[in-house]
Amino acid sequence: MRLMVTAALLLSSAGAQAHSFGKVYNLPVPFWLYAWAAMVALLLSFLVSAWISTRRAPATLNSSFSLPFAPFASVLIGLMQLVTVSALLLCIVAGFYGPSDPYHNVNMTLFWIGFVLAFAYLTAVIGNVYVHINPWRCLTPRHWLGHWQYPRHWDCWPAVIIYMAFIWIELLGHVTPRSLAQMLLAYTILNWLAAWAFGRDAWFSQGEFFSVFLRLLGKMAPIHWQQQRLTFRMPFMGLLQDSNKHSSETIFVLFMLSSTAYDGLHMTQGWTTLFWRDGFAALQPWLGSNIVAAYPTLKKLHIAWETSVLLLSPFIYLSLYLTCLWLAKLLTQSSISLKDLALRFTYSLLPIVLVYHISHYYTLILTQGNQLWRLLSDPLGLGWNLFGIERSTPTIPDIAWVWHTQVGLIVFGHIVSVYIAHEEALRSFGNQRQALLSQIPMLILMMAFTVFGLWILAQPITPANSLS
Amino acid sequence: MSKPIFAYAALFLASLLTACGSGSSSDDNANNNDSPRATDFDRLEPGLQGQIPLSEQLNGSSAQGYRKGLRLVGQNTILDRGANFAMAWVDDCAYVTTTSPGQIFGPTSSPYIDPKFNPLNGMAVIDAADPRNPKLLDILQSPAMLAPHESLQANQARKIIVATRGGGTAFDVYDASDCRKPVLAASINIGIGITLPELPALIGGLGKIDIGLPFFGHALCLSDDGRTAYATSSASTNAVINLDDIKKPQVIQLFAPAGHDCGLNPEGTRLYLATFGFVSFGMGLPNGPAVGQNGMAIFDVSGFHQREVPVAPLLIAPAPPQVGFLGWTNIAIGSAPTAGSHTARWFRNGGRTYLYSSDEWPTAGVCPWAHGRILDITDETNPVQVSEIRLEVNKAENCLKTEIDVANYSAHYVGFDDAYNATTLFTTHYTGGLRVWDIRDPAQPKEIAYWHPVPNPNTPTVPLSEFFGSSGSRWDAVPTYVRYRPETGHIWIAGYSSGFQILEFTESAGPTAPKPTRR
Repeated sequence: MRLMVTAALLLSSAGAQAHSFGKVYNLPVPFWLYAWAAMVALLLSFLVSAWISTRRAPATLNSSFSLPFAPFASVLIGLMQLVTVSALLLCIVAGFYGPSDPYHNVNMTLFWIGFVLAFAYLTAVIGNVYVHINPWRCLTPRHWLGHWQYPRHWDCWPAVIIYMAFIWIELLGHVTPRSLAQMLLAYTILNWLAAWAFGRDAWFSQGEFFSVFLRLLGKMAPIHWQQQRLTFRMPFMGLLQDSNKHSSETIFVLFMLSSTAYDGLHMTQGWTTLFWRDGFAALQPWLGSNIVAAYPTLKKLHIAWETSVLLLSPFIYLSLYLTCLWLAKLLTQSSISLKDLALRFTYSLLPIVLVYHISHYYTLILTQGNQLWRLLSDPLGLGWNLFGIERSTPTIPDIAWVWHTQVGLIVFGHIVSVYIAHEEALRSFGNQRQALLSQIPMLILMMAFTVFGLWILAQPITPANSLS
Repeated sequence: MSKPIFAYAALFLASLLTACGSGSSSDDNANNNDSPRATDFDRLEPGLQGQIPLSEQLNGSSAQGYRKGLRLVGQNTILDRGANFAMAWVDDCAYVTTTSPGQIFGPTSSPYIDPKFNPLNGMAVIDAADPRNPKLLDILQSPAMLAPHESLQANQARKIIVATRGGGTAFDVYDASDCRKPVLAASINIGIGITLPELPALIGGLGKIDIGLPFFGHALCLSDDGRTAYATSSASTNAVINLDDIKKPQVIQLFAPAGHDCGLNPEGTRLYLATFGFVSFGMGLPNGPAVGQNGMAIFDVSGFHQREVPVAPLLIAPAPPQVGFLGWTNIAIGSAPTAGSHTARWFRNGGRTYLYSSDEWPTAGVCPWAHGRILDITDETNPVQVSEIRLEVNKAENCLKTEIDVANYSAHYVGFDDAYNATTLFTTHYTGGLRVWDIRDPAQPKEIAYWHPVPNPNTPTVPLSEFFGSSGSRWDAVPTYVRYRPETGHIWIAGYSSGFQILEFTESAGPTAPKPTRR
């Protein structure tokens, strides 16, 4: 029956009725085959990684070279600062004075897609150039050294809190161009106040959320931006050059992971019906069966429910992560504390963070991101065409291509993570056998993450969830 | 979705061929913003007739809606759920359901990836006894009502509401004896689902066709006595359903070719079926690209009405006798190559019998969008087109002005002041809004009023939804059938994002606008 339905839908989708818009895409093979294939790929990469690994210092592994900034580099950075500050101001001005429609106001596309997505992915390639061109930092006077010392125990916790608020607004709030402008303005003021209070350098290295976010992504890049030098290294090897010092950064990384998974999960039909159908059914003794009457209460409960899950999500991931490390400690009889192990292996999760993020969101760059130049050509929606750009329709990527790109990215990211974790294990546990033993629980965790990540991504194109 | 080469080729051909159209000149029903005089209350369309220009969308002006000769009496936004698409009514109650590509075919059935499940999907029950304050009483969810697409219909005589599941087989019947508290009387499945072996490749890009017996609900028409439903399907067949016992509805048979939508005469003996594309090749495939002949077929269904046709033992059976057919080719009449026949509703005027027929291509980027027409079917063996309902935005020569609007100006549904003696025609046109026409002379329809609802930006945002139903914040589509209540002069519609609305005429609709019979 399902085959018939699918075939008929493929047929019907070719037509010209109100419902017929394109091709239905379903997985070419059952999902479980993808899941098993991904797990086998991880297992093989784990074994290969173990086989070729030898005990060596990361410095040897990460042979790198560096170049001093060319004379024009500071000019280039200055220009980029001008661009980022202008972009921030444009986002604010366009939000207040530009079109109210999110798809036609440049600030939504420029901020959410140009900055939060495209620039983040670029950072994973070209390194953390943001540290030099952070517009909020650029707008803060250099002489602000702070009235109080930044509390050591705060570490990245302010960034964690701002990150959670940011994701809540993105996923559960109703952002309009105007509200985005208001938020950017508020964030600018917050940064000024914090930099004035605790000092420009301290705040923008630990407290400002985008600085932390992009610094972590930049660790995977083959380029490391230092004060007056550019250092080149193998991709992802930056993850082994530094080590995490504070648990706030572990939570930050886990939230990078869990919030992306949550974003995928909360859009699935199963998740939606869990609250609105099953949850509503369970609440009917109190709320009655009339959804119209119950809706005001349900809506509030729904926000509370979604908020709770979102905010708890990194701690759910943390419990899994700590369990695996505890098992690793048990297997290796290591004297390293669990907290220390959690800090040491934090960065090995970052490749997964990156591929999760790209897999979930890169299609937005294709569908709306390609409108950015046209929007910049008429930044306030006044009918201008400053750059003479022709209007174009969004690029709709082929879903089969999207899905297989996602599978490839997810598997690749996990393989890299397995490798980085193995290298870290060699450093931490001292010998090959101990490292191998320690990584068995982590391998299982990676397999679980892989399957979970693929499952979320596959939901819209799994027949059982497309049709009933 | 946009196929520029295809569209411009069509535009070129259409420009050449528009002059070949029949009936009254399209200039006859051009925008009448000047006559009768607009009042201060009106907010006139700034561009072409029906158009929401992109410049007005960007500067925020279109977010205030446009109107002439009509004003809002009452509204219910149905909890800001959006996606409102079909409306039916019994007594003082309106019933509104939703649609979206995702609801019917799953989130990836289209580039407009949208959620299939919205907790507020279902049949919204609205008590409009107080027209200034229509109240949402309930949202009823049952297999068909969760996603009935265009199939929602109600019958006043028997006080029932019916629908099929869009793209599915479910068929639901509600007992609306108390219109405020409809009760699900039955939910059955239509069709037996057989997939036949693959056929040789066909011209037109279809490598294979599934020409079996499956039924995928799409639209529906209900006889005036409420005893027989004709449900059209997205694949191959129509279903004839006996509703004598609403607790046990019975499928009499399926028959091909499937129509897009349908209508019936008041006696229930004639079925007017909107057919298009490959249907006319005898393939029974309404969803093929409508490159072939569109048309309106008249079938003699008195056998079903009189219950003389037995229940088909294998469910599918031959089509009823066809007594008339009028065909047209989309490009030849100046419509997009993809426009297909969609709506067929009966009315009478001046002793003659007519049908309002419209095509539909509801997606942005394929200009010229589909338009409507009035057919004289007094001689049902020889239907004749007597006029066109074509807005300026539907004209091929305006495509260069309208293509950039990211809007959808296709015609859709219809309503009359009194189907038995129609002098006023209401047509709905997605982005083109609600249009009102003086059809005292059906050969010379004249527009007297229009209504573009104020869009509701609080509805869920569906990426690229402006290519389909609504932009949410820039314009709203009016996709539903229209109810006119003679006693109050009120007009009922539902907007895709704005929800249920009750309107009434203002002075600037002119002297020919119908007046309330009860004051």
